[in-house]
Amino acid sequence: MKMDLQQFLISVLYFYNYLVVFYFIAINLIYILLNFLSFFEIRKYVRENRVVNTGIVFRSNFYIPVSVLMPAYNESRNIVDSVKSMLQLHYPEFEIIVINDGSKDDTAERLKAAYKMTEVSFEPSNSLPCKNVRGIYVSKTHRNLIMIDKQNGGKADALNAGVNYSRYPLFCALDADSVLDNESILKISRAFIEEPDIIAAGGIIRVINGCRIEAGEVVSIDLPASALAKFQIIEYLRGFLFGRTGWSAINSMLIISGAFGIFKKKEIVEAGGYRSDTVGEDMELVVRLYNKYRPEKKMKIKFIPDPVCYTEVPEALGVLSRQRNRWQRGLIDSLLLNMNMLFNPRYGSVGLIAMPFFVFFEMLGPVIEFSGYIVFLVSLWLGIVNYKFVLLFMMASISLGIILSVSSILLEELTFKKYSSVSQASWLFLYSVLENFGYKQLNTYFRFRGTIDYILGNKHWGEMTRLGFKKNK
Amino acid sequence: MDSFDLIIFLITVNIGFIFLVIILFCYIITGKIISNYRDARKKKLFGELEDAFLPLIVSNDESGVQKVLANIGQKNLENFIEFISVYLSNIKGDDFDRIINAVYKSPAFKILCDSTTSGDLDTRLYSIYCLGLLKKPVCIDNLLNALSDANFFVRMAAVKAIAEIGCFSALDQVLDALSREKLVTSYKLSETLWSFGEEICEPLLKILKTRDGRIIKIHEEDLLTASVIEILGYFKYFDASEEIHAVLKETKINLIIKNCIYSLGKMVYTDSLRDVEKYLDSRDPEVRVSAVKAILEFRSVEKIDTLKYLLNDSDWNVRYNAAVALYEMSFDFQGYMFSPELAGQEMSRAYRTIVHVLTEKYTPEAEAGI
Amino acid sequence: MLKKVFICEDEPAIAKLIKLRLNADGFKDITLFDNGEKLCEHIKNEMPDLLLLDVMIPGIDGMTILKTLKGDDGSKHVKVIMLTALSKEADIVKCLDMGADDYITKPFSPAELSSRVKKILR
Repeated sequence: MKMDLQQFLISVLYFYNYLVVFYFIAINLIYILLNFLSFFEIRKYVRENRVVNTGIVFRSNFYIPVSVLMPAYNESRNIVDSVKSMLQLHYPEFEIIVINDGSKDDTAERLKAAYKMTEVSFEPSNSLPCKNVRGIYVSKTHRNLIMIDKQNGGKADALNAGVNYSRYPLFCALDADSVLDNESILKISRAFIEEPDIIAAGGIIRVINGCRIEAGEVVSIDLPASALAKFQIIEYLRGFLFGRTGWSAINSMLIISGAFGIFKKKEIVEAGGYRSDTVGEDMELVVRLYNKYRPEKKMKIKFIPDPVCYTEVPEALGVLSRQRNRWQRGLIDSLLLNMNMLFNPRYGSVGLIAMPFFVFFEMLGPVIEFSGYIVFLVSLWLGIVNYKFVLLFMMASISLGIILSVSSILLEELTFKKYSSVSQASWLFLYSVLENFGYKQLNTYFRFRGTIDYILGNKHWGEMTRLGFKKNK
Repeated sequence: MDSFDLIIFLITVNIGFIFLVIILFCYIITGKIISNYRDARKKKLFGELEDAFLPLIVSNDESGVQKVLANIGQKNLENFIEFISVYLSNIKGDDFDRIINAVYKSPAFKILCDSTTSGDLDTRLYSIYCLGLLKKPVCIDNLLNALSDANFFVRMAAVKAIAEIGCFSALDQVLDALSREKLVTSYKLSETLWSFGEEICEPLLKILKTRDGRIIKIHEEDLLTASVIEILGYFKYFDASEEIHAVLKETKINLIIKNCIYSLGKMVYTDSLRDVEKYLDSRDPEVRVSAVKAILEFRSVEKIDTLKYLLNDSDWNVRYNAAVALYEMSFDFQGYMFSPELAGQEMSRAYRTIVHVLTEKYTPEAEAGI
Repeated sequence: MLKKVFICEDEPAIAKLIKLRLNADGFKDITLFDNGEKLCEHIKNEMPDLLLLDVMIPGIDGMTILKTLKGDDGSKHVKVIMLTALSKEADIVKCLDMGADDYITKPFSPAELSSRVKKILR
């Protein structure tokens, strides 16, 4: 009897090893496929859009005005600079709505002072659920700058309030520390002019750490000193250039980053706006949009690789850990809230490809991967598997990881070439190799912890400490 | 499977992967070096071109230009176009004519025309774009050919180029080409028609009069007719007002109704007031908004009661625009707010909308001294 | 007397073109700026006689610079010509209301620009 149990355990371990190997092969095959898809998609985009003259909107009347929403919570350090940079956007008609989400510091006071804001009594255009709005302020120096002062309710709640007081048909959701290129709105709003069925679009997020900022604009792009930030550069390139582009190519991109996305207001209001009871409000909204509209009508949510939003990434391990933990919890929440789409042919590629991938690889991935490492070690210790096999398999998996990391740099080099010198390219290459020895595993661990926290019912955002604009000057 | 074989297999895979990584590294670095070298060459070319073109523009000194232009071939065509497009899209007048004549006289122009049928997508797009900027009607046949290109973007670039040249004789072909496209928005159509310039109104009116079913149907809406009407209104082409009024009377499509009302408002065609005001209670809020705006353009004071009624509309845009219209028509808000109709109703939509518009119109502007 | 002209325009090729054009017409003292912040810093120390100002420039936008210049008694006398791609009636009216001395839309004619500069500085 005792022998039988041992036998059983060993065969379970054995089976699990096979499962991990299978999982590894499957996920990498999908990544390679995505990689190819994105390669053609980006090349196509870059070639076809080089001669699009976006400047025409300044002379004609045929553009769609945009409301830019900037939720701010305890941003007193940056808010004046951030708003100043947003005021420089090149777009014929836009408004900036800063939503002071019950900050405990002097965010509101600083804004009021810097832009001579005066209280007005505006009537909301929509009534999405949000916490009590304490006051609306308009700048005397810039007619298109509005501040909403409200009770604290989280980012989703703040964005809902912003949507309620916005007046234009498109709104752009940002983070308070997002730095947009001057022409980002011009480029991203173009999607709605060129294609009829688009209801939302996201742009690329790049890492601002290390870049030189002048007058609220990124003037030269360089690599940060911190290794952790360099790893994240690779990670962002990979995630956006070949992750999102690939999904967008088969019209099933499930995430638009909360740092920079643009939406048709009508559709979002009809869908009920942002949900404030989830930590992943940005992803949840997009998944819900598919859930609501995909079976009814032609709709598209697009990733556009050209309009850039720069964002500051954490350079401290603790902050990174909290951020990834939160992302994982948001992802799980967004998927679980929309499980009816899984394997549902009514949702087309979203139901049959994207949802299964996200559920089995993105959501359960960290658990499988993390337990895989442990089971491998145990099996090795028990002598169930050949150590040569384990070693070689690990090597193969790591070098395949390296190829995937390096190919995202290749993609960047073939298209946008933001990192211009040979030494920058070499550093990026080096770090894309190095990220497979530690950084990726660390990330898996953070996400694993996130999954555990989700199961234990932790819904906190986790404070994000920012270095601020000034440091980069 | 024999475990020995598996090991050999894995070793081979590993070696293969490592080689691949090394190859990728070399590829990236050489690519970088080559692209940096190209950038340097481009900079040099830009310098040479600038040295030749600036004297031409500033002091009509043509000596250097032809020599530089003679060196433009397939290879550096893209760079040349990038350089010249900055001038072409920022300058007009005699100086502009001097630039395009210099290019026209040089072999570069021929290369540009030939490139519209190049096998390379970039080259086709670039050359068509440049021909549009150069505004020389002689290349129209090349552009008309490009209207049936296999690539959507090339076709749209050709449409754009023909429009920029302002070649009305090709308008029919352009509209035909546009009506074959499935992926077009009304914005895009209007923008294209707008690029032809104000003179397009006369031929557009002719087309509108025939209304021969050259229709682009997206979401069951006739986009082309809608755009034609919008453009006629944009340029305030009064001759078209009767025809647009006729369309308004017969159409059932919301987008066309909206654009008809917009255009009639722009033209201040008061004869259509009766038909426009009907739409103040349309079911589509966007139609109501356009009707309110038209009433403002007409300054029809007798509609003030309807506008007052619309201050309570369910749609914010309608309420807001009604209030703005009333404000612009110098309506006595103060009196109205204290009148029996609104007294004590501070929470009503009408009251709040009025306060919204008043604070917006008064406070910031008056104090900032704009 | 030598008239001092500042040009604030973020497209270098166009800035250079305007500078040469004005040079040819006798204005020798010309300084170029490519963003609003640098211009504002400089203007604190040295006032031009005329400022050619693009509305959409990085740093501080043209409208704000115009408003600050014309709103301050010390700098009210600086003549300002706005140069911009915005060509809608409302934009032009707004600029002129805010005190701009002239308004030129892109695409522009360099010859015309130069003669307007001459007229204003006469």
